[in-house]
Amino acid sequence: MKNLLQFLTRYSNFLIFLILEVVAFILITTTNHYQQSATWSAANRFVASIHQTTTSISDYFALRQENERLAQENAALKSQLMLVDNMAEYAIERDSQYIYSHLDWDYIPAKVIGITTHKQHNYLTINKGRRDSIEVDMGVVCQEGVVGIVSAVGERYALVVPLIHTEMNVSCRIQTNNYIGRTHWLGRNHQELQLEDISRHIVVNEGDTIVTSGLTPVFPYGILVGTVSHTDLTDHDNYHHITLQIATDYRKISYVQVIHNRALHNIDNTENNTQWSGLKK
Amino acid sequence: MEWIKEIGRLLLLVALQVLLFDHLHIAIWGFPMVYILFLLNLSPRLSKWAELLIGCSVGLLMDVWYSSLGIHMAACVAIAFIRPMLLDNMLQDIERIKDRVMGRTIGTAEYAKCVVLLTVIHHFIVFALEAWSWSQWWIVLLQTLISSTMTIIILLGYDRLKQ
Repeated sequence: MKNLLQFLTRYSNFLIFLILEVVAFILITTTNHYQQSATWSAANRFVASIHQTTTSISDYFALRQENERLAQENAALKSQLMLVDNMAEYAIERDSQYIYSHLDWDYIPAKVIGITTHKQHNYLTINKGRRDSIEVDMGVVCQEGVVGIVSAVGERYALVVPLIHTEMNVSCRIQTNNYIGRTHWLGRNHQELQLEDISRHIVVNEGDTIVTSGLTPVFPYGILVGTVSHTDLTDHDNYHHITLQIATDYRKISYVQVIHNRALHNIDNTENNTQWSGLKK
Repeated sequence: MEWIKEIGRLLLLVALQVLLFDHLHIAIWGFPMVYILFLLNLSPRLSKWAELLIGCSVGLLMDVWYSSLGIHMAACVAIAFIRPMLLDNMLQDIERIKDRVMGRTIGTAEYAKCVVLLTVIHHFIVFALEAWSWSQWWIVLLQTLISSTMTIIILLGYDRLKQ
């Protein structure tokens, strides 16, 4: 016992060091990158409010560009509006091919108050949270295309995993031939993404449009992910090596929409109700 | 009073890091982490366990900001553990130094050695843990090299100004 105590006092600093490092490693390995804790991330109210202050300062310098972008967006929306009447019938017919149609989605506008683009695990912070009915696993899009998926929700803020996160995959398809693949980020260039799982017999051309597949409940079908900028296929490859140019420019992003799948809630509720009645019996 | 001053210093450094140096990055390659100056400058009179706990808290503070729970904590605890041993090794008359560890108090050459070594260790741990695999080792090494160079230039430049 005496020896043990002696040992502990002699190496106490080393033991503290070891314990702290082990705690750090446990934190790293147990923090799931998709479902982060809101308290211990930038979805934390205090951290997010600092993010918000800094963005509101830098926003002043981007006002002119932002105005121009909004004017363009306005024009594009007006022209779309004129088309909608004629298209409505056709759209319903076309969307019903897919499980999750456009009509079941709510769009919640939000402002990006913090973003990193230089890490392997990048994150965005947005200024909407639980009280604006944001939930984990909701999709996030902007005018240009897909942005990412919500990973942690605080009371007023939420954390979003963007496409440029090395552990992020989004199911998508080549618009011309409907073949399905998934995105993967290599961690280097914030404008480039890899498209995986496209077999060698499929014809892929540079400039092809890649859109969300509509097979997951997170994104509806047809939201732009990017365009093919480079393809590579050697003789012994089974899959294409496809590089995409990401539609969204993460360096300039400022306003996004969080999309909420109403159909998913209906499905969930139905399932829960059935289970409940089963239990009562 | 001393305590309040140190906490104020920490807050100032963290504010500088998040408001200024976070925006100075070069793509994914160069990312100066200047906040470690707080840990590098701690007085050698501080007991080792206290230094470890301070390292742990500073790391956690940065982790919450970067949403990377554990990564900066591991790196900061590591340099808080190595620093006293390094100082003991380099300086014979360590008891003489009552103030912060800076170029003025321990000698410019020694301070520079200390800054270079600890910065490289800290940055390497951060980038290696962030990548979490050795398959892209050259990215980790390049990130460490470029970011450490940026941090070291800033830290030594600041030390030069203070002299």
